[in-house]
Amino acid sequence: MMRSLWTAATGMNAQTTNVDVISNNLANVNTAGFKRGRANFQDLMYQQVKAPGSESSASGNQLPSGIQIGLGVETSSVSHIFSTGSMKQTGNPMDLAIQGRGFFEILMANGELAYTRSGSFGVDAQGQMVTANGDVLQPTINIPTDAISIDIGADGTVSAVQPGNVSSVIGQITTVDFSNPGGLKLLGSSMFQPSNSSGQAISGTAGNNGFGGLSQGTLEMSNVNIVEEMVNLIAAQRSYEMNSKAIQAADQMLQTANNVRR
Amino acid sequence: MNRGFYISGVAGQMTGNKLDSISHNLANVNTVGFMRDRSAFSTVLANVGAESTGVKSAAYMTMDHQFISPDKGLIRKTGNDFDFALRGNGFFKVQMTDTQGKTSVGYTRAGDFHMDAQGTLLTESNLPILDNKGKKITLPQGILTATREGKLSINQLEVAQVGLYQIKDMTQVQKASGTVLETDAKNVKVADNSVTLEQGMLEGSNVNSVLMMVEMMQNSRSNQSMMKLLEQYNQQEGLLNDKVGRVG
Repeated sequence: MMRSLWTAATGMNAQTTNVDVISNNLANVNTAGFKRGRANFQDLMYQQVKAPGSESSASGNQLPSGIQIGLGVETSSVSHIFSTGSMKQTGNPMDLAIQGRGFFEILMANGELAYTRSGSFGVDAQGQMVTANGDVLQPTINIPTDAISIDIGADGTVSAVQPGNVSSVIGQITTVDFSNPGGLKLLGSSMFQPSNSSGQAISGTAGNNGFGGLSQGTLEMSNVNIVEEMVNLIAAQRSYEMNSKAIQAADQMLQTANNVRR
Repeated sequence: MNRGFYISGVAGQMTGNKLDSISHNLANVNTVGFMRDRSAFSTVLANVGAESTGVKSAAYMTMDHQFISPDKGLIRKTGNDFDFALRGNGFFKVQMTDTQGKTSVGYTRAGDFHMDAQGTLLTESNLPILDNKGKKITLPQGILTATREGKLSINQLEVAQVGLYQIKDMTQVQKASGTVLETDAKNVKVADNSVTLEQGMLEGSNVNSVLMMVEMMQNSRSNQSMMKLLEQYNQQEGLLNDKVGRVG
């Protein structure tokens, strides 16, 4: 049977994955700290029909170029784009946004460390700063029970005002960064873990040495750009259609061939 | 048998080959750095010089060779530090290792890079990118920035110079999977300053989908007419079998 049937099928498959990724981006357009994904494709192997440099005649003429027919496409990876999302003023003193590079370090319930840019923190029963899921921010910050107000500086210094207008420093939030955030492994809930391709976590001080400063009372929303996603969606759907047309063309050609003998 | 059978049959088969190549281009319409295939057809002559024996020569259609279109794909901004696009006719050089462990080099325009645990800069298909001295690029941790000339810096400290090359004759090129081109070392030169590197951008595939659809329609029609011809020959032959030699 014709190669193009299978080749076009790989194209349809790839576009399905593309639409899956776009849908996930669109679904998370309002998720704090969400980073949009991007499906990456690469061409499959080539079938050598005629090798370049093979002899084309008895007198020893050589073909300058050959014939290689490609066999389609595959999804090679889904990478995540770590551009900064839009910032939303919430006025909640426990909401933190990182303006620039950096991640918050989180200790999950299973004892593993994870990283997030979603800064909607709260306080648990022990007075520790925790994420919306109840995972503890690292290093732990204990908020005194009688604190009247909490102030978090751009460099991550946390101070509390206690009765009698006594202000005292109660902790320091450090942020971490990765050489290639695009290589981080996704855990869901806007949490990430390092992988071979992201490199290990580098800790630093917010607002220093290329690390972004913290901004209290602000939340980083997703970096999904709806217009861009819609355009990508249209492009993906159209390429899906074109590939299906290629299957139709192959099918028609086979049909014509079948009809030659009545 | 009438040779027209074979001439139209072979031509029909060639339209099949062309569709294979069109499908491959369409499948890769979203592949970063993909360069589309163009096929060229020509005629081969059979029985040339045998006319004296009463056999007439005939021209058959054949798929002659394939070109790689050097057109540029659309460059779009991604904002990702590890995405690179090349302006001008440049290529990145990558190292390929075969199953026997022998290494060779290839060239690609696909700039969606990442790195492994050792910090080696790799392409999407995990091939190491080579610097201007032909060595793998290992990046320390930190923030990656690149200049238009291809100098890579980590935290403002220069660490490597990406090797940028130009291919002299694009017809002398073979494709390998992973949007990599292979060619003879003599066919490659170090890129001049018309080639610049752009960080945070990616070059899409250079497949023009409208053109591909037009080619596909044209190809389907030419397949249909070839098959029509074949049908005609078949009818002719049928009549011949039925009528000729019938007595009364």
